Amino acid sequence: MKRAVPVLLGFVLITVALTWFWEEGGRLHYGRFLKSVAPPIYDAIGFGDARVGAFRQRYINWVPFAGLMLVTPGLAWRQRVGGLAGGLFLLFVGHLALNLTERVHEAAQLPFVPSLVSDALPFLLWILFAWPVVSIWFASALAESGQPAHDPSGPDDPNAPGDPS
Amino acid sequence: MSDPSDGETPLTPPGPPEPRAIDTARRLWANPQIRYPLLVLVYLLAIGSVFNASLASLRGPLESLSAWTAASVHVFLRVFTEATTLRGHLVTFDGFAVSIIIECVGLLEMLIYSACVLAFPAPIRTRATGVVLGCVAIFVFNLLRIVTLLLVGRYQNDYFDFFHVYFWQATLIAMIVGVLYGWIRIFVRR
Repeated sequence: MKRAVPVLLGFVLITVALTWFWEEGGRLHYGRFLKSVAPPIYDAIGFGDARVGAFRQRYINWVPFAGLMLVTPGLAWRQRVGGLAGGLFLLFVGHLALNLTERVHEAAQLPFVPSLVSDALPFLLWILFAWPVVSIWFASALAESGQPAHDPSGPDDPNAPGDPS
Repeated sequence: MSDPSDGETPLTPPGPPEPRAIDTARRLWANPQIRYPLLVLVYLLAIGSVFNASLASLRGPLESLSAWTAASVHVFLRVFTEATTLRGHLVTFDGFAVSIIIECVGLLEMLIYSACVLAFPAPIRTRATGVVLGCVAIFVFNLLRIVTLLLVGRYQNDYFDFFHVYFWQATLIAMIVGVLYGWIRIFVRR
């Protein structure tokens, strides 16, 4: 538990800093970047009339992902940087996909399920890219609750998360 | 094609070879690093779709939930100060008012957290306990979030939007991770 406090504090500090950066111009630059990059992509996949920016409040989901990747202790530098790059790219793809959901759901409010997935995406990508550490956290949590610790990183481990049995 | 009889070892066992796509899917599914996030996503889509489909019939309970959230914030503030009022979904603190709408009750967080718990390899009763208690914990965290917003709105109004729209949305993941980790530590039994 004591180890969790500095990690949590680090997460809050990084999140505040990144949010400030986002507020102070980051989101404008990202919006411009998206507006220049997205239309050709939408054209290429047959959605030329898709609107860019309908979900701009959701674009901030890169902040918790970056925060989690940066504060996760025990990740090797290569995993951290590679995970950040891969995750941010997938979030960008997610933003592109999120804009398309507006076409099939023309309500005044944002479609519920895409918003839900968009908000969960940073967490899911963190699990994916920080798995060497996340799996140990899961295993140590099981161990601390009175169970033997296992390394669930191997595909054959029956205690590994994801096996709903 | 070589003939096994000429002394070479055959590269593949006899029988029809498995299609490559199925084989790849099986290998990916066997890897918990892929399986757990995918399962969470499947549960999330299922829960979200069911919830979305029944939104019309849930309108009454959801209205009650936001009214109850507003009342809880008011009661919590009353422990520390008299400068708070409650009218329906509207809570005020020393003249600064917030209206608690359905988006403010932590529902998204609860649904994401529930999908994470349901996808976790634990007995069904443990998962059910995790969903119920975790949602209660998220509700409490959400009360603290609203109280913080009231304080920020009252004393640092310029930062209200920052905290409301961006900061708390970014930290909702920390809330989910924290409650999930707590559930695993306290309740998960093999």
